[in-house]
Amino acid sequence: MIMKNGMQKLELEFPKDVLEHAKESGISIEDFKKSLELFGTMQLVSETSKLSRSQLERLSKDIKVKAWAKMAKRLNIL
Amino acid sequence: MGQNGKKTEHIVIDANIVLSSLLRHEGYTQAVLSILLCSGDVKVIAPSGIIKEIERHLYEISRRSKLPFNVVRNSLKLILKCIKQVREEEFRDEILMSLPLVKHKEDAPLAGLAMKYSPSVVLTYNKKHFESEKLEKHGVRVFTPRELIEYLNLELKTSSRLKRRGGFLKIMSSLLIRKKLD
Repeated sequence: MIMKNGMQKLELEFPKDVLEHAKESGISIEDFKKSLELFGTMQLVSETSKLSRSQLERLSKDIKVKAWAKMAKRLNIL
Repeated sequence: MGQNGKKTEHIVIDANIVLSSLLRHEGYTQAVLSILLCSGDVKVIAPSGIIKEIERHLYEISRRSKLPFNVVRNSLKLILKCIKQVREEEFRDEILMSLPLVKHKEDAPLAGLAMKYSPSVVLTYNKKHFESEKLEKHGVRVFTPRELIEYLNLELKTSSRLKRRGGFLKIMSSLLIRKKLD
């Protein structure tokens, strides 16, 4: 089912006994659902990413260096 | 546990963890992050300047990863909305204090934010860029995702809610390890 906000609902089935056991053990099914959504998104996207570890580190450094330059100017640091 | 037996409630997240969770197929980081971001026990926070800069780099991230722009934008949005952004104005003094405790000045906002919310954790892949022992004196621990799993397990003794999440974390991690072995 496609939602108005551009999201699509994916129905997952779990054995009833497993979910009941989880609830009885105090596991929040809502937290579990949110974690699964996020984990699933990360897994699906990263499967097809072509970014290498070194490229990622360079990109991450570039982001932090630029953020630092703007912040240092704004806050008058150094 | 932080200093004085106070429980760690804030985790400061590095840009490399955010990007890695989406752009590298690294199960540990993804499992840790998906649980932390949906957990009410800890708050995942980051300097607002770094989050804004990630958003400004969306086209570059898309180009370099060869992922469609909309996929990058929408999935990063999902992650970033769970991270509390803190403006640098709120911890300017801590940024200045943390400058001698980091190897590269661009990491000072991460260390400074962690000091502001001490006892806290900095979650990063670049542990070597931080003076971990000195930061620990300020109630700040620096961990990689893998180390954070062990650290959370240590905290399980004092928190039953974390214990349940720790269980979930262990299950997800072991599933991923098994997948790798297969």
